Amino acid sequence: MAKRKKEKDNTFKQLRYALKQVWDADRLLLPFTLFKNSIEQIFYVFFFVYLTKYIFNCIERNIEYSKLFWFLIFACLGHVCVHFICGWYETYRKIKMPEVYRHIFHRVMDISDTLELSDYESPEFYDKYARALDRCAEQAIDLSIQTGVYIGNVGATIMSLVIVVMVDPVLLIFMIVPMVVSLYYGNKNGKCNYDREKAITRDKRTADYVKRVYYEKKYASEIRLFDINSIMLNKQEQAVERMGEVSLKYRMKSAFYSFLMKGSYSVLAGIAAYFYVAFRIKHGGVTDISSYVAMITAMAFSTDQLKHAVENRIYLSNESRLFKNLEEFLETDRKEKEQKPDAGEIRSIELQNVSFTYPGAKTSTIHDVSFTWNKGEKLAIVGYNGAGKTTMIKLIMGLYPVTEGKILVNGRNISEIDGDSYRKRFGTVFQDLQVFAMPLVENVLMRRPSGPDDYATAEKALTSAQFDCSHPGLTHGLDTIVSREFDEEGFIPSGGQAQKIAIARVFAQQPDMVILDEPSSALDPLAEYNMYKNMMRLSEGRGVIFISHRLSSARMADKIYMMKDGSVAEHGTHEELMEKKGPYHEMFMLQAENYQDSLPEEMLLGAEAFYG
Amino acid sequence: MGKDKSKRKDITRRKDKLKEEKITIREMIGNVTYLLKYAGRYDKPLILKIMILNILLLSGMAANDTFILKLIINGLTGNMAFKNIMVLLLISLVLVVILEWIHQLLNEWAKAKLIPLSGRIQRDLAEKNSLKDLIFYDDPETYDTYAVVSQRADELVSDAVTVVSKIIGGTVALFVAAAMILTIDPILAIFPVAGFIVNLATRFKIEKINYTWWVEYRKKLRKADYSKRVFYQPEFAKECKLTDVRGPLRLQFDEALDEAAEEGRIYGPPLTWVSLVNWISVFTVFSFFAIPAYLGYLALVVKSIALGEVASANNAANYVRRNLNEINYCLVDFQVIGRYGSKLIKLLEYKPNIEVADGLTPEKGSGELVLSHVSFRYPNTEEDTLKDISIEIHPGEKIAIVGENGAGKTTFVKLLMRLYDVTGGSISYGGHDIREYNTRKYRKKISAVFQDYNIYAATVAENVLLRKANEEDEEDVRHALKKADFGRKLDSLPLGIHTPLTREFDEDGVNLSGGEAQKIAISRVFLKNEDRAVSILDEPSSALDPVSEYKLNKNLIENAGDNTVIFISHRLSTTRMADRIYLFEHGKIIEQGTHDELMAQNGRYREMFDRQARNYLV
Repeated sequence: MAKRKKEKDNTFKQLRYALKQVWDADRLLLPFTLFKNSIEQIFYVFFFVYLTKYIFNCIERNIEYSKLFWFLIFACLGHVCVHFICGWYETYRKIKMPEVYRHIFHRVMDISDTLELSDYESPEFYDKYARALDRCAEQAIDLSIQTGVYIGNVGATIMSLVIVVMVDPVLLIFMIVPMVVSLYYGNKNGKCNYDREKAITRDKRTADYVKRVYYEKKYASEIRLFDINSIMLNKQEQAVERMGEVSLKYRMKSAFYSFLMKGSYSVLAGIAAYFYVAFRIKHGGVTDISSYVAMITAMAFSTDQLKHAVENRIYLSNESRLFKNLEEFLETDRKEKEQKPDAGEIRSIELQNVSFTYPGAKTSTIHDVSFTWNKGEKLAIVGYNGAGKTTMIKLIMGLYPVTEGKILVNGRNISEIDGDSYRKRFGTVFQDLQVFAMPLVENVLMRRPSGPDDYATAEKALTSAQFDCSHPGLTHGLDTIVSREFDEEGFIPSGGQAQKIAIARVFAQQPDMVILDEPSSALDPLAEYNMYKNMMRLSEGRGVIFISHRLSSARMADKIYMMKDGSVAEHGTHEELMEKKGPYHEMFMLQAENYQDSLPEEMLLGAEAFYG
Repeated sequence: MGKDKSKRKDITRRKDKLKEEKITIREMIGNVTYLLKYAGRYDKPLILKIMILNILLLSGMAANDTFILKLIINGLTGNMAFKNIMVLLLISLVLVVILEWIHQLLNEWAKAKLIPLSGRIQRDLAEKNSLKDLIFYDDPETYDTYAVVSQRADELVSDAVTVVSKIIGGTVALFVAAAMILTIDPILAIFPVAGFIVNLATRFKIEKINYTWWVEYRKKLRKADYSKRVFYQPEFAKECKLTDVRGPLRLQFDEALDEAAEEGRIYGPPLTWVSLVNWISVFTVFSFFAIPAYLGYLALVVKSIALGEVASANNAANYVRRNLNEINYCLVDFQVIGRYGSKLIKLLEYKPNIEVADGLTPEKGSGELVLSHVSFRYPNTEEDTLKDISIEIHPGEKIAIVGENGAGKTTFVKLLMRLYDVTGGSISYGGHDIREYNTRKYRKKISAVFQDYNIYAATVAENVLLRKANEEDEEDVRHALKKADFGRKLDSLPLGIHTPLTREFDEDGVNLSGGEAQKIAISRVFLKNEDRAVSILDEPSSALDPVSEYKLNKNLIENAGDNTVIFISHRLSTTRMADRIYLFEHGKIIEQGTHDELMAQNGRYREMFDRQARNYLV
């Protein structure tokens, strides 16, 4: 019981939080919304209960018609006034809805500033917050509308009950009893629905998945070439049949509960009340027949309101749940960013016996890695997929704290300098790079261009990255929006083009240090060659790290680090490593095979032994 | 001043657009009928049952709420004996209980029964969809609309059944109530009918404006939605932390919201005015004012009716109003269905060209593939993706197609498989134009691994076969996986080739890494296949490490035997084993020959090869 009460309190708190968002966004929108959605019901009480009683009384007592007529005129004029207010509410809401968005998401944007990468990567972040954030703004408005309706329902019910009680308190019984009955069976029905939903979750997901396969473009070619129908349609058929069966199984139970819920009103508040009224009029010596007749009409109306109030209450508590997550996200006190000294120009980065274990993982991803990277030095990190190359980059950039050992930047521990200003000194191209749905020029500069100079810079950077600026897809030149996310004339870059845009960012940024994570994987040979050539030319005097499993490019590095299973297996220049005839040599020869005449069989065996 | 003017111009333009939204009520009704007929094809008795029961139910309820109620009220206010009133009440009680019970039962039953029906429809649409020519997907505008529509198609059809039965039922109920009112006073019946007509006219208008606003508003909001999502979606986190992308995105977000608010300024006022007309006429004047005023007039001035009749007429009027409200909600849905319906119908009536083409069956063994002056252009583009391509491929030859990104290599493959038809020139196989063959049978001759392969939520075996797996396939699948270097991973899977992949709906499903997934895709080529005469490999080794790549290339050559093999690659190292190499650039062949010939030509190929090889010289 205590738990249930707490739950109720929470629902109220969440609802209040949702409404507060609307209130904070625009002072008028919330009261306006509540007014518009509640006033109609309250006006109905006036018309259906009070006015009905008034008219019937007039007729019974034979009061002059003109009095009734003018009363009606005034009431209807009042109603018209309310319409005018409510009518303009529609316009107001349409204009102000974006403000609610703005209010919520400006705060989200500010908060995202203080989030760490590890926050994003925790699996619950997505489940809890991202989903809440996707829907919260629309939901907040929807909830305030429904709250208005709810207030109207409750107000109308209470007002009509008061009028009913004034005529005859006994009539109240015919409303309270069905209310209790329907609440009880409403709960049962809710549980029944929940059980049914739970029983079909998996089947529903299956059916949705199959649907997706047929409507997403990426599956289209394969569907036409293979008999995928035989796999998918069968799955869907079974899932749908099961869903139908489960629903049929629950049908009687669910129908019975709904019957008791709704039926209790029509039987008790409808028929039983009539029995009582008939009895009172015929045997109770009531003189005021018209009031009783009016009340019977009124009761149909108030049960209607009551029904809606109960339904709305359930709706409100269900739908406001999401705001718990939103509140958690927006209101949790986050660690105030410590004022740390600015990184300044990076001259050297030194790793001393660094180890790193991902939170929750059992084994370390990086162990005992040491090396120094000076400005102007070009390093290559090579190795098999999963050797820990990308993780190491993230450590160097201070995106994760090291588990053991330390990283020194210009001799100072990385944890003592301001992370954001430090990272600004890097230009990075990741394997899983993103291009954004904004104009191409902004995608390169990562800011709004302020004049023709900026366009020139962006174009130069793109050209250096081998991006073809005269591509016919660029319908608005550098101002073309990248992606068709919301612009039908947008430019959809291929994998290679996206990579080139990301590389152009580095060129435009002029950073101290450059990190390239498999930058050439989607590029063709010519583009790859030119990109590297430009990269090397433009990064003269900067530090560069590139990660690759194609060794041809590693050759350009001043020093090569060969990684295996999270530690450095070998390091040195290309010549030194080739001399050593170790794993690097084997990997290199294997890749070089097709460019040469032949490759000794034993070398292949050696390579296989190395990679497993 | 000037700015003001341009803004006004913008508004007029929008207003024109508002008029453009042309879908007449007649068309809407036509669409909905079509959908009902379509649903009827699968389960006509069900749909008829739902509709008839709904209509009977609603008119029964209407009769109870008007005629019987009138008798009771008259009894109360008149001199009827208590006993007779009791009888009336008992009749009403039985009626209410029965109707309410049927109502709830019908609701739940229909809900459950419509699930398999919509599933059936969805399957039918899926099958239809798989028969659409691929080119259908390349027109972004049509694709976008139809993708959305067809995804909702099953709901649309079952909604059509529900909504139509509710509207018809509601209208019948409305007439029952009107008939009752008619028995009291004919003029009184004018008000609800007038209300109904005005309502119908203005409702459609209101929904139309609302719909247009919603479309425009969503369009603007999509931009804002995207911009804000970047701030909290994990996949963007790295870029957010490392670059200043948040600056321009925030500006973009704000601008999009301003534009969205502007839509409200444009569509809000007309909507408000029409709504006011609707509310004031339908509700205030016709129901709240006219009916009580007229009833009062009859009772107090003319004195033609008594309290009982006033009460029952008033009741019936309220009943009409409530029903009108319900019908209004249904009409909103009706419009949505009607609107989507026309798109869905186009989709259903679409006649594919390539996919269902019947014709010759290709002969056994390999044939010669000849492309003569082939060109191809995607719909809605201004330039040919492929221009004047002529190639002859003899049975058993190993061909390499090389070139930069965007040179048209993948389109070339799709033409060979007849996923698209050429827009110029011709492709022939074994002496016949490929358009003369039965498409399905022709494609059996070819097996292909695409760059953009997919892994499906099905077992490993099904993912390899891409069809339902039988017992006799098992050995073949294992063999193919081993050849694709997936053997070690396969041994580590709990259920071997029966392990379900992906976690789409199976908690025990296995998610594969990029390299592993590619190996699954490649293994498709290694399946035993007697029909196959041509193998196409589109960048098969891009996600593989060097050792796997080496093994793969060796196995591919062995496996191909007498088959024709076409490699697509931008890594020139693999091209050395080809009998002939074609170098594509901007959709044209610029060089062709064997590796040695091309090297001797000293052209573009040589330049590319040397660049790649340079770094591998020991």
